[in-house]
Amino acid sequence: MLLDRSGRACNARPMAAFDAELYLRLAGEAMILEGPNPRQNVGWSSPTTDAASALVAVDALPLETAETITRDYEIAMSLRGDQRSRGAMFRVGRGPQPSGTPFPPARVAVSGQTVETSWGSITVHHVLLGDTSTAMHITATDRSPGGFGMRNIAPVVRDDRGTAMPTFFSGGGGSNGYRGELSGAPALSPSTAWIELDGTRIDLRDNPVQVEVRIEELEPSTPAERHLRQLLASSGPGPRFANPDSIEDVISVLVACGAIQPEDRAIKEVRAVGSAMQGRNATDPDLPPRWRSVMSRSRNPFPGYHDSNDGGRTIVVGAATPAIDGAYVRVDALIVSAQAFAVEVAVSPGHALGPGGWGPVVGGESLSWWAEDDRGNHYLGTMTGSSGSDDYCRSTVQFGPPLDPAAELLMLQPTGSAHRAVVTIPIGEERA
Amino acid sequence: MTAEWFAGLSPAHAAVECGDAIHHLEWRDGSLTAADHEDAEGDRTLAALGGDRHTCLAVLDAWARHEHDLRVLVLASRGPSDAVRVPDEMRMAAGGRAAGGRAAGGRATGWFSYGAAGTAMAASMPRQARLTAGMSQSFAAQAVAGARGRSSDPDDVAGAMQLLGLGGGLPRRLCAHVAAHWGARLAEGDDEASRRRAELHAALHGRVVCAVREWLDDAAVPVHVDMIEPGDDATVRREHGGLHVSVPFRWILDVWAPGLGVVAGAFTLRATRDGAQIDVHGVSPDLSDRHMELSPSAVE
Repeated sequence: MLLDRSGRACNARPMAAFDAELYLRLAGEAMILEGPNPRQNVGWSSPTTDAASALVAVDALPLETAETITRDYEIAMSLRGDQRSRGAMFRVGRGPQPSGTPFPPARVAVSGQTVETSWGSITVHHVLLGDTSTAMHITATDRSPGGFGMRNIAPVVRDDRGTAMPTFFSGGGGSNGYRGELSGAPALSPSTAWIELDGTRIDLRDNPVQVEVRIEELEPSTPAERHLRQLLASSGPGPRFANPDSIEDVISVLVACGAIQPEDRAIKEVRAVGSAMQGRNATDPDLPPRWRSVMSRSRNPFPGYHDSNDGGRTIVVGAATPAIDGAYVRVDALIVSAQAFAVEVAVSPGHALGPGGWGPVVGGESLSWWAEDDRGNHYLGTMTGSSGSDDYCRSTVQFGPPLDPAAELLMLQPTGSAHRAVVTIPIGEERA
Repeated sequence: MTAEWFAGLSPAHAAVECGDAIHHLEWRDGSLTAADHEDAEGDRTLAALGGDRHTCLAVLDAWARHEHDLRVLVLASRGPSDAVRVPDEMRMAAGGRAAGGRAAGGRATGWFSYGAAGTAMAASMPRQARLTAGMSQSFAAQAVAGARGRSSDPDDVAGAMQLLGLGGGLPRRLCAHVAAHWGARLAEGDDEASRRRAELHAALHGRVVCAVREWLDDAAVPVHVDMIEPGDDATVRREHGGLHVSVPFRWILDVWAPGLGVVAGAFTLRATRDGAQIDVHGVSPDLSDRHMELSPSAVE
């Protein structure tokens, strides 16, 4: 096959039987011959990872083969001065990824109270109280001389039954503060009325809102269509944040392998979305309605991370979904501020969060995080950090554009390949 | 593989620091030898019993592991415009030290490490030390760490990379060895070679494209490469604003490895040897045929 300078297959010559492995390897050769960094600031994206993911998504190439080839070419690129060690991101030979497991029932209580300590302050936003684990979602500020950082913060937390739980912090941050989770064992009593942190009692309030959860089937679509749409909406850092060339590369490989026709509606849609993301045309008639809603309300709907806890209010959700194409989601809390809103979630298996979380760079279908309010506005979520394991991962998913102040209901829609969950959260009554 | 697959390849040398001395490795007539270890097996036995380990012998062992490894053709340079830089800190992390190569031109350096990937050393390091080492690693070294997975490097990717850092013309001889092995299997109709045809084709593609771009001094010319069967006519023709090159996989061994891809302004389609004489059949940029007879000294 003929590849142009970017490694994209030219359609000038008719191809015989499509050889997916050769296509991917020639994309790798084109990347080598182009030299380091054919794309800048594109997360995990590269011509080979994009082609490999597409070929795996439409079953044109086994995952193991695609990962091995892509890894080898990424290592070859690193020998040529490429400033990303993406070879380290591949899971070749690590065996199959785990399937998801349902989340057990847990009580989520809200606090918002701040505890002052000798080294700084901890604000406890909400507490997840399960039968076997307890986790506190916190933000913290380190004011100690020299700043020891959160690695040294391990307070003992007590409940009203006298149980004492040593904790450890997982999360991140820096000089502007830390954000994450304090968790430990043994679990505190799920029915405790308060917890005590560093000698200060923190009262817990339960969730006053009624949250409804249901599963919906999506309209049927081909694997190629799903892959294209998911490229744009995936919560991980993918082509949504990349050079639009990556979208065209993926279209090229899907067309070349016969998984989609060049005139397919999904191709027009992703091109229209890509164009709108470049700030060119948010009124393109090919923009799908929910994308039009997102793109038309803000010139830049995804302005980057915003700490919703900074001046925001927390609405406890405490809902768990049934399986969404094999993945399970627990929504702990919705945090709303003037600039953005976010949800604190846990997902099983971890790779359902996508490559920016615990997922593979190539292969593996991750969830997209859509939301809709009762005024017909749509929102799209982006993962802003994650921690966990192959089995379980938790994350903050931040949505854009900002929440419509007049909205009374928010329908959170974690979306898989064939199904989506709809978690309906009343938000108006909390505001009152 | 024919007995004389190496006929067109001149000897190559590299120097490595082996113990307290600079030792020399020599590639000649298809074999790599450690000239300073007259009793290599004896030295290996002593090392296994706890004696000094020898960098030279580690190189020979790694060479034996990778002389048929097609991954070498993915990692190695495609040609003069494709520079490969194996990072210094990889050799430091693995315990090896650099020493000067002495290939023609004298610009390469050689180095090597003990063992396949240094994983045993890494595993024995305190966690903080490993983290610190990791932070100082180059991106290439981190990439290999990832390729190793969590605890091992079953494919010995690090070993392949280290061989490519030897210099002195040895990496190209290693590529020739790999190409000779798989070219012969392909010619024999071997099932495994057929199964890995995409790897062979891609290896040929990158090297042909690199040579064509050097030939035309055009880094953007589209090039389509057909991998033809041994014995079929090698050709170049213009097509769709680019070039369509048809050559067999053995082109890597006969043309690319001895550095005959571009000779006197012509792109070489095939090179054959008649005694000490090398017949080069190529094309000029206007695609007219060119035939040259070269002596081995001219190739050197």
